[in-house]
Amino acid sequence: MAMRFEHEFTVPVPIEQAWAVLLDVERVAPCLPGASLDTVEGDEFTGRMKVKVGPITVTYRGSARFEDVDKDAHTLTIQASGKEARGAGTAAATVKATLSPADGSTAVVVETSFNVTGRPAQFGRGVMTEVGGKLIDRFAADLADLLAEPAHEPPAAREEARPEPRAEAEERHLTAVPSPPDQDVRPSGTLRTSRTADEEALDLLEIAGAPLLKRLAPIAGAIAALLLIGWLIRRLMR
Amino acid sequence: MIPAKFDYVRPGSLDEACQALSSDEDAKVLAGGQSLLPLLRLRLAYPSKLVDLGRLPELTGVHDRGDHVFIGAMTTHDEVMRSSLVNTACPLVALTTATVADPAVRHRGTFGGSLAHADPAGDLPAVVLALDGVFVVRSAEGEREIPAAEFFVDYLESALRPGEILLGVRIPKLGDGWGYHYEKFHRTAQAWAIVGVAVAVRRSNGAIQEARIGLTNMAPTPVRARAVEAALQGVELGDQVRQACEQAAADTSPSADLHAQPDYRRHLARVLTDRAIRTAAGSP
Repeated sequence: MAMRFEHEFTVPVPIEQAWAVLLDVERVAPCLPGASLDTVEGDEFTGRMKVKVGPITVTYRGSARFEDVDKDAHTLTIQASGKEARGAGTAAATVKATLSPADGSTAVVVETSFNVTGRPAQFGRGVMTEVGGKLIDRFAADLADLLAEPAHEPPAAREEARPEPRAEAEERHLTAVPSPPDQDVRPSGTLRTSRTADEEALDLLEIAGAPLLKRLAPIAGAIAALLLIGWLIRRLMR
Repeated sequence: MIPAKFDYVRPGSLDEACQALSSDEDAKVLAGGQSLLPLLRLRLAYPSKLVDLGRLPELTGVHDRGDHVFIGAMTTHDEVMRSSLVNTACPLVALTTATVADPAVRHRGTFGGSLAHADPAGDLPAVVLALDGVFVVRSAEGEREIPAAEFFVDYLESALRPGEILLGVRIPKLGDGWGYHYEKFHRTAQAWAIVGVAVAVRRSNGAIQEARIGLTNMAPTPVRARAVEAALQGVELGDQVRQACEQAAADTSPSADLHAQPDYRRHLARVLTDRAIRTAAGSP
């Protein structure tokens, strides 16, 4: 069964800066709660996503890649697919992001669709909408924060991504190059907690339900997975 | 399917149970197993250890505590619905429990297990919420109480912290003059409620003086229909009730699934709330 989500938001940074960040998989992937990257090779990457809903835990492993990256139009598409680490369920997602300039700031539109096949698909989508919607909302909110970060700030203590100098980032917009953690430049006031982390799982308790955008990554598979799960549970429980 | 491997302990005392739970963050409490075992068999949950509460007599039974009834977490649904104390002092709990799943599940499934699971489609959460029950929980650090309004946090998420065990729930006695009903809509006998409405109303002089309404499956948690409760005060049975029930879906966020779309669930909430109130007030 397929589901579609659309998020829009505006970030107060120039479009080239937002574009550079968007292509940095290592920074974007952690915006999805519970997601972690395993490998990044060129424009292909693999990763995992762990989702916890009450007693249910599902881990998806999958791969994703950039497609149709158009740096002039500032649009890109990410195709992702994943498989349950401990089961046979699969999920696939397509994320299309479009940036457009707006008075020194950048308008972002993220369209996500994902599809679940196999057993989960037989059960409908009650939990899928529930959990998937929250997950994507959270991702969108985190991504909005990430894109909105000033590019050049004093170093702050935090492992994880750093903004790329703009020109450099543009040149290699197709390759998400890992950033050395020691070069972190992130304003200390805007550090997001709960990004990265292998073991961090989506905790619905913490999902604030922030509005906004969503998108991306190896994660997509994961999302789908969760949903299914919930469904199964409910069905089988009785 | 066969569950993944896990350890199993059946403690002989509450202290041991708390110890067993707190020593392993992936440990999970096993009550009646009517929700957890299917999850294990589907391999959707992978606890490292199950802590079976089946040998803790202090968690079982229904007790009269003056202004409230204490229902032990490990009391089975069947025991609850047959308890004369529950039937007399908090009939809404008894009559709703009788609609939970089927007899086989009710003989194994427990009152506390079903609440701790926090499924918004479960019948009992809306009832305990409507009656302002109080959850009593214990961990290695001691006991604490959680009001029903704070217990249900999100889909399948309760306010129970890791290492905490639900001991039971205090259900306040409402006293005389109250009528009760649980109106449940589902397509097959033991299916989950597509929407459920738990109602307690107090009538005097032909008018409704007070109403408490809990909704099942209208949001990721059970919710109170506060707008209807307020609108019903002082209302005489009849068209005014119907009118008040138009607000039954206010502030809800029902999900969509194979059974129903959100707008249909909202419609059901309005219709079923009206029915439940009429029945509870003795004027169907």
